[in-house]
Amino acid sequence: MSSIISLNLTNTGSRYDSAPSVIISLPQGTPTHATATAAVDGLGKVSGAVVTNPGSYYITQPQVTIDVPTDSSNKNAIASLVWDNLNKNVYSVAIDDSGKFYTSAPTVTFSDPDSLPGTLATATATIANDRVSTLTLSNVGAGYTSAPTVTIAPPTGTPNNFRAQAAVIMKSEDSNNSIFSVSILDSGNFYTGIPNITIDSATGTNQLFRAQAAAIFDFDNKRLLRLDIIHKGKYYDSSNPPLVTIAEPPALTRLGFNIGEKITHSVGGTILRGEVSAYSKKNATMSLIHVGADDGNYHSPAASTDSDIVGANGSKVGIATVTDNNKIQTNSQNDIFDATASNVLLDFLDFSETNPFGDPGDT
Amino acid sequence: MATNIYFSQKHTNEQNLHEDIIIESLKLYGQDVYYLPRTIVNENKVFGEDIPSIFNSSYKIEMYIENAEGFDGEGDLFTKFGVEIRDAATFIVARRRWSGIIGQGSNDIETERPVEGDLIWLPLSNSMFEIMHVEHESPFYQLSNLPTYKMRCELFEYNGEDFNTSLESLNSIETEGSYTYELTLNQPTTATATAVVGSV
Repeated sequence: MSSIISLNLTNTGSRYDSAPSVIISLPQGTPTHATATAAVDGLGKVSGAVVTNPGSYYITQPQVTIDVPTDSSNKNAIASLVWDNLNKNVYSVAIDDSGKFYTSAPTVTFSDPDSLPGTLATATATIANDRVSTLTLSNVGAGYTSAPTVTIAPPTGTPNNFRAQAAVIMKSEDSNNSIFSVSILDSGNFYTGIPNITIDSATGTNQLFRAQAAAIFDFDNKRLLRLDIIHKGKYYDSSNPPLVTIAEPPALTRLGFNIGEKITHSVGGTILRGEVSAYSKKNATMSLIHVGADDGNYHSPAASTDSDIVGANGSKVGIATVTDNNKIQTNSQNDIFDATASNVLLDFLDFSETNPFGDPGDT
Repeated sequence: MATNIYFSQKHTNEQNLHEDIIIESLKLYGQDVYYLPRTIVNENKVFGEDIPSIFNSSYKIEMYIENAEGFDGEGDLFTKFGVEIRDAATFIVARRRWSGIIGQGSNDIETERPVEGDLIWLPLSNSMFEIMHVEHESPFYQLSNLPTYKMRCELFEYNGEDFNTSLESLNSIETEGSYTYELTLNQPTTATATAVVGSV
């Protein structure tokens, strides 16, 4: 039975606030029906059953049904007696035919004596294997001037009374989700052929056998340490292993940053505030302007794992590198006289601050 | 001796007519400009410094550029420190128009007249001018009224001001000129894992 035996963390992720949820996809198997075949001995009884398919997805013990005996006709037992002409009574009784389908001992009836005062002969029967097995003369009677008759009551059983009964034994090494064996509780009787054994269908679903795992979180580094298997699941296909989906870090589920958005950033306990002037999620770059600190002193944004830039809508990003760019010195007036403004070579001398005297060789 | 009451120039109808003619003239001969009122942040009242300024709004209005043959000022100044453009211009705006469009109470403006430090964006030359002085008495009481403001302006030099107007072309001034921190970011990454299936 295939289950999850290990989970390999291929990427520990980053910038998690807490342990994310882990979802392992459902097993792709389908429930299979358990089957078994019966064996019948020479006496017409079910002697055993062999599981031919243990099935799967069993979460409760299924019912087992064995067909009714194929011999459906009952039969009366027949007895005979020996008359004692000398003593005018019954000398003995014997079973000529033991009959069948007897569920209890039948009554034995003798005919009335011929002369009065006579005494009615009586006898008792016993059954074995659902047939009459013995007759015991309990009273020989008197006054029988001729041979009496003896009658055994007819059987009262139906084929259903002799249906074999069985129960399944679940596979303990399989956490009881398939059939290990079929145990015959009642062998039944009067089977002339091999009956069918029907085992109820499994009621389990894939959801019940989904594997479960939990992420072990590294608070210091805001990433995952490992994944622990809580429930191994069942009925997975080793050639098509399930998908493991780990929840995204909180910041990824939020919006990005908008131009003009006000952000905060903590540096050594001081809150820096600024305005986003450019942001590219694709290139993982951001430009901040109007940055100032709450304490009134000069601080620069710092690259650190625990000092996120937090946007107005709660978006978070960490800083990898910081470079400052004093654009005030390269203002628009210089751009006008910069021969290579905007990376386009213009047709006049460069008179910008980098070449204040308009040196033609320094464009 | 008091003035002759029979020759008074303070007729409201004539004053309004005069102002209407001025407004119409400005609409005919003026230019569309954007007026950006300044909001001073954290003013230092001891030294009178007002370094941080915010321009949160812009209003389109017609103004007349008085210097018709070119900008005033010292023009393009070539010094050993480089080139400096010292253009200046004088803008004239009708008082009634300024009050009706810019100075109304629902706008983000704290003053009742143009003030020094406010900006005027001239789309004609893509130039931003800073108001250096507002002459509010020219022309001088021709009909016992003052129908215009005359604003002497110089080319604006960006110095870290915050622009939050509705016009992207104006907001880009701060993007292009501000002291900027360029950051590369650590984007959050999602953890991934694979499962190994086997018999138990």
